[in-house]
Amino acid sequence: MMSPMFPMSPEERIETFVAKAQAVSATVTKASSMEEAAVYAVGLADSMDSCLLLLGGDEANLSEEASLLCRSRDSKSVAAPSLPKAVRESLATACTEKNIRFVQDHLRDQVAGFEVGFSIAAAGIAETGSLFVPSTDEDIRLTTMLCETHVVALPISEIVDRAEDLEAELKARMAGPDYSAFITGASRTADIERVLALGVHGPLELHIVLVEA
Amino acid sequence: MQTADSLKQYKDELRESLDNEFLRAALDAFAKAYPAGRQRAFADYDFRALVAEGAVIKDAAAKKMDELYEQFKTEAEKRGVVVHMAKTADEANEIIARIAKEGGVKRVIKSKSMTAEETHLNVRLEKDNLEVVETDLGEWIIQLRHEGPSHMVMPAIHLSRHQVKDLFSDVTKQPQEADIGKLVKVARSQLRRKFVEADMGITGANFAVAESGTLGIVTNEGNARMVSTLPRIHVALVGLDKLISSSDDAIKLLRVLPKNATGQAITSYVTWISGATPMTIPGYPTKEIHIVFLDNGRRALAEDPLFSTILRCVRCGACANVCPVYRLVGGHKLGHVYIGAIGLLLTYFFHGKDKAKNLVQNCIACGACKDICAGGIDLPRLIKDIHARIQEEEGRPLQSRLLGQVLSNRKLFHTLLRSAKAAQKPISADAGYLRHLPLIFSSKHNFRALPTIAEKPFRDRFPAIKPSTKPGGLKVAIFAGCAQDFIYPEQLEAAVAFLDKSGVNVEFPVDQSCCGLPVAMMGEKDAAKKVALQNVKAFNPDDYDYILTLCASCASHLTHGYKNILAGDPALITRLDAFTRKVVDFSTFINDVLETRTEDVVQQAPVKAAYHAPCHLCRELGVRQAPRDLLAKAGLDYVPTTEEEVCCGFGGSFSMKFPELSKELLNNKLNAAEEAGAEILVTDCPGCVLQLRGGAHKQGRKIQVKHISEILGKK
Repeated sequence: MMSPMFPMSPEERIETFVAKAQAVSATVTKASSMEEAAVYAVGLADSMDSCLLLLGGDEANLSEEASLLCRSRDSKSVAAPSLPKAVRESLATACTEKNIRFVQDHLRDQVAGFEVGFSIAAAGIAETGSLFVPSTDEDIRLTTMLCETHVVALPISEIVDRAEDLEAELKARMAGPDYSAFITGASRTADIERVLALGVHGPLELHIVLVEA
Repeated sequence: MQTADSLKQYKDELRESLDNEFLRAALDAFAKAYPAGRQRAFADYDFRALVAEGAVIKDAAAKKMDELYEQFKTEAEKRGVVVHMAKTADEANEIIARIAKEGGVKRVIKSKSMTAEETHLNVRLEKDNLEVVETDLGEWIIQLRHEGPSHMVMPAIHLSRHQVKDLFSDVTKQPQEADIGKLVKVARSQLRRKFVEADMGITGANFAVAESGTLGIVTNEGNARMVSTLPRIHVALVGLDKLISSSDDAIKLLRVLPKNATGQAITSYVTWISGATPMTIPGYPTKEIHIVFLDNGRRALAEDPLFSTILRCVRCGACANVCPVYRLVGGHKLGHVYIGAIGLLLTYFFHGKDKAKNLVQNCIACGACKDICAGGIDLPRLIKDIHARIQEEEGRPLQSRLLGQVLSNRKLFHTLLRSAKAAQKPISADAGYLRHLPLIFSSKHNFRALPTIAEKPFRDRFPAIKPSTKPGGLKVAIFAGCAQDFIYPEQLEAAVAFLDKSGVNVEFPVDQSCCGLPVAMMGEKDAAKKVALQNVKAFNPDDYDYILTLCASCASHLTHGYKNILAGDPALITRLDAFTRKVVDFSTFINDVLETRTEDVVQQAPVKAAYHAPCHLCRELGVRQAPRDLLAKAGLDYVPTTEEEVCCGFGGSFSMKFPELSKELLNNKLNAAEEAGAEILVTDCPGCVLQLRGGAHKQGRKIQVKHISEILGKK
């Protein structure tokens, strides 16, 4: 046995997933449904400052380009392409209430960034606190990359012990063409003096919403 | 990037690194932090088992490299990818330049790829007036500085935040602060635009999964996902060594790679790309993907019986992280493009003998890299073999040949040692050290006092002290080794007295000679083999229960070294096997075989004692507990010190060749012992004693350096 961690009981599996995800600075919360998770994402966008690239650094006036990127946007956005109908409707309603723009496609036009990207993970991996996010749909992929905060809904029932438990699904997807990812925490670097900094090219924060149903 | 023509020029460059205070402090901090982080990451795992599993996967893949390539090509093409094969670095660059031309590409963005560094791809693309921008933060920094990487995982580890601040102030044309968080955001905002503008994205890959033509890319920043998504063309440059059979294999390797690289359980992103997926750029319904496989010597390596294990490397960089030499001089001096122990080897195979000839000499053979290698590659041994190969090709230096000739002839060697003793008389100091360095040494060697050769070697003393025969007692033959036979015979005498009182029979076969490690270290293969044969013949394993040595380096060389050097001689197999199995080090024998107890040992004054673990004992032989137990049994107050298992800097001929590096390692060691408040520093190897004691003496330090035999008296 390579590790005494396996196999895990259902409780251990969830506990381990949460602990490992939090260890890489992910925020983990729970929701009773996928719709509730979507509303959480909108609430998060609502609570963020209005200037989209704020965390991207233009508040410090880092460069002319950064300031231009900032000025090019006028309202807050949540991007969430290809959602199931009921979830999409909940999210749209929440966006309307908060006066937040709901982006569902043409994410290439949003490269300057947006507050929140919302996506649904196919599975979670307890061993490393990772999310398995199929993103063959380019709009989903860009959603997970270009946002300031990435919110991922994960059905609790889809958490597995380790990546090996996803092999059947992985192989099925790799029959392709396919583009998938294991996502663990926010984008990070330690390239300057080995000091950890979150949010280089991808999201600055990762929020995981564990969905009970 | 190391490009020195001569060894002298190389040494001058090393001096520059030693004087670079920021570099030294940064690498020191990293060397101290890395082991703890890594240990936490592996806390729930059996590291050796993971390494063994990975080695099986990679070895099997190397064996069927061509087959896996064909399978990958077939599967990837089914999924809409164009697969190319490049025999050389130039060919790979030409293929990619052609793809760019045919695709009407003007701007290129890249995510980190050591393989593209290997082929110097940017230089080639820039010739065609393409704008090429690195997007990995570290790579972008060194690109802006027109430098090569100084680490495989952290390419800009040699730079301070102040240097990055200056650089980014130039790039943005406005003053930046030396605040790392803000500097990272500069890269975020500056590079975001480049992602949008580029028409071609170039990545490497960590895994090329043959069963589905899938690329696996391991990153933290997320740039590889952007590079492979935003531009309309994606080109991946992938070494043939990245081919593996299945996604199952990739997942297993993935369990080791990030943990060993940075102490992370996994990286932020692991991306799996299986074919050309739909794209939302008008007029381009699907992505254009090209995968360029690079041979550049990898196929030949796969066929090589000795060096094929190099292909197990997953580029985690751990071999640099633990290398005491890397820590002193940094990656620009310990590698050409590839860095660290694996870099010394890959430089020879990918960039040629001229680039490798100086580098391969800068291995102290402490074994720290081998111990931590994710692929279980015997790096120090392979580096020695490459050194020997280069010497054969270039002609061996006079010094090396002379030593080889002398050591091959025991009588000549011992006669020379005896006459050296006579010659040193006028300069011998009272304390047992030479007052002046002999002329063959330069002033740079003056960091430690050199011991005098003993009045009478152990081999001449033994007949007078040989214990009487004890029927039924264990039979032990002593292998003295040069240092204790001719410099420190009192260490062996102490051991013989202990053994005698413990009821052990002791013999000293007189035909024994130097173990041969010094010539093996210098790449003198023939001499190393001759000496090994002489020693195996000098000891008839049937006559003894154990072959005991007080020298950690001899013990390691007599076992692991001889198995390699004398392999392939069928007449010798049985004898060699019996010989190597009987070799035992002093601490193991006293503590574990004789089961010596506290009440058996004369109690020392209970002063604080530090322990220096000889490289060859703790890593090569895996002996860790026995000597520490013995310190306690002798009544000493053992105090753990930082980096107890880091090399003392002796390394035999290494300290002769690179005295300035040797000195720094020595100082680290003595400082650590003194900081722990130790009055005595105990070790298990006469080579380490020579280094540490000579250094302490030269620097007027109070700490006493003892071989463990000198603190153990049997009641």
